[in-house]
Amino acid sequence: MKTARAASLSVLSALLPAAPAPGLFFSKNQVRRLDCERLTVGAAATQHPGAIEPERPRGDYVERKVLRCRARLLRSDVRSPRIEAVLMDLERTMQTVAGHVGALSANGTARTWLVEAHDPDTRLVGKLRFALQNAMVDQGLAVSDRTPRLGLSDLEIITRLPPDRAYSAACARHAANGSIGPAEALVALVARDPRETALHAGVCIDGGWAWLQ
Amino acid sequence: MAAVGRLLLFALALLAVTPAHAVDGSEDQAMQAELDRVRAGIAGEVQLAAYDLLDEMVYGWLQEPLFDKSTPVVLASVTVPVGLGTGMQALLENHISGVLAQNPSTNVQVVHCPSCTAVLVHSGPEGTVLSRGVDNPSALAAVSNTGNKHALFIDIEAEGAWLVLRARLTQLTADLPVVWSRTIATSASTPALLREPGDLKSAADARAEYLDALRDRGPLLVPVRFAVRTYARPSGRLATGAPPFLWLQSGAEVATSEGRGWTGSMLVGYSFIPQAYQGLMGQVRVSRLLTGRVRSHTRPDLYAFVGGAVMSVWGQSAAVFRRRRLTADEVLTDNAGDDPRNTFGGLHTGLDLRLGNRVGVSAFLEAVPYLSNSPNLGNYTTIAGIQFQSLGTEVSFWF
Repeated sequence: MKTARAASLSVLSALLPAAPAPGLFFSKNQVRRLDCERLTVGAAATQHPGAIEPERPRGDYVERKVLRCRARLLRSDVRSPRIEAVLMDLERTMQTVAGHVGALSANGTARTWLVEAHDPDTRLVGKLRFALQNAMVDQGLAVSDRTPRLGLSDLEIITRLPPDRAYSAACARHAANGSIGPAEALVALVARDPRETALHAGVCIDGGWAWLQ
Repeated sequence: MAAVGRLLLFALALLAVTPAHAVDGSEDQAMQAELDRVRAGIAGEVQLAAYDLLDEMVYGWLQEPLFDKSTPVVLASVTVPVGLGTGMQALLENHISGVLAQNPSTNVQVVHCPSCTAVLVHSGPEGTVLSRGVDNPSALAAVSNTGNKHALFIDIEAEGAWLVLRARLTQLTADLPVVWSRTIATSASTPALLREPGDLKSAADARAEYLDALRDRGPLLVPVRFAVRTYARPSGRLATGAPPFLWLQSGAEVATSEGRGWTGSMLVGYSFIPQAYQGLMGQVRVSRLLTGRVRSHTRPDLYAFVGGAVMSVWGQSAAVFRRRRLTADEVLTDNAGDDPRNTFGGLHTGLDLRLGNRVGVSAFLEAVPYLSNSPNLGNYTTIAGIQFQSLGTEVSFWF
């Protein structure tokens, strides 16, 4: 009897799991379209005053948990998984990088920052650069839209170097040919492997290259 | 025999392989068509939200103009979410240009600059550089007067459940400094404000305007109601029962809040059927909204109500509202003299389905305690010991 009851409960929980888990009424594809986050009851009541009751002055009778789910704008099959993964956390990633750059600028040296992005997908390059520029301006940094240039002979040599040496070599050449001036610095976003979704960031200051993340 | 077998196998393989290629091809086409359909649908949904973000950006410029005087700005680029088409890009360019043209107090004067967005080839001491005009101001200066121009870059991207607008303004000087930038986001579930380009408003002002629209009629409404009350026939072969009573009612209905979660009404009514009966009534009712906490503007609202009524009826058909069985003598007496008159009270409860607080239908059960033991009336039902002798329906209009 106990076994039958446990089995029926298992089947019931498998068919009707707590939302937004997939089950009888929600397919896996439907659930994958959701972007969910946990909220405190206080925050949820503030952000959704009609839908979530605030906590009672003497506390609730039962413990409540709030999971807010929003449908993603684009279906997962509209873009490649890598692009989707990069863009999903774009704002947070850029704020993190801008924070690192802001910490470098906190030593009192006022520099104008040039921004570059390198990604295998050309559609992402402009997006990444735009987002980082905005995040850096929000941090109060001086940002320029200028793109530092390298000569053709420099490019021929640098593109034949292994990646670890290529960035530092390019940085040195930028400083040598004056495309990055003494009052300027370069921050570059780099996707080092076309398979990875994490972005790396490096800075070029006074001809020296350093990875930020 | 083996050769025949091999031939058969080959034929089977051909049969199996040939349709497979055909199916693969059609599947690809079908998938592509489905993807295009999905993209078009998403673009349609995203477009209004993107318009909303652009309006919000221009509204910010209206509140805090970027420039002291009218300044030429080149719309350098508008990029749309990865995966969506360039048709949306053209729509957004048109929208931002239109909104800025209708709001000159932003001091942003959109100017046409073909050489700014065209690819320029510029040869100098440092070499030959191919770039867009806005990316190479020295080359741009050689072909056009950049003056005090600025370049506006706009990027819209779908990031999870958020549609994010990023904008930056770059001064077209040699150093290309970014002089202003803004990041605005809206969630997928937030409806677009659909603001008028010539009358941009903040979200708070738009909400206030929306609430004003909701409050246009105020908490006090005047209902006009047509009601029919039917009375249960008593058991017994000789019993005739009471005829249906038709009522025309009107009065006032007041709500405790704009949401009309609770409402109360006081109505007076009149009933008249020639040679049958006439009547006057007063009714009080309290209603509670069941479908949500506030009334809806998009779907019907269901209310539950309880109330009481006092009715005074006279005429030949009013004779049944007596507590004792009608006798032949009484009927003859009533015919010979004044019409019988009876006054009684009732308690009712029921459900009211309203559409936008303009029109509604309701049904209710009414108990008449004074006549609970009358042999002239039966009971429709008994709930919690209360006998309901009457069943009524109403059609209401609110003004």
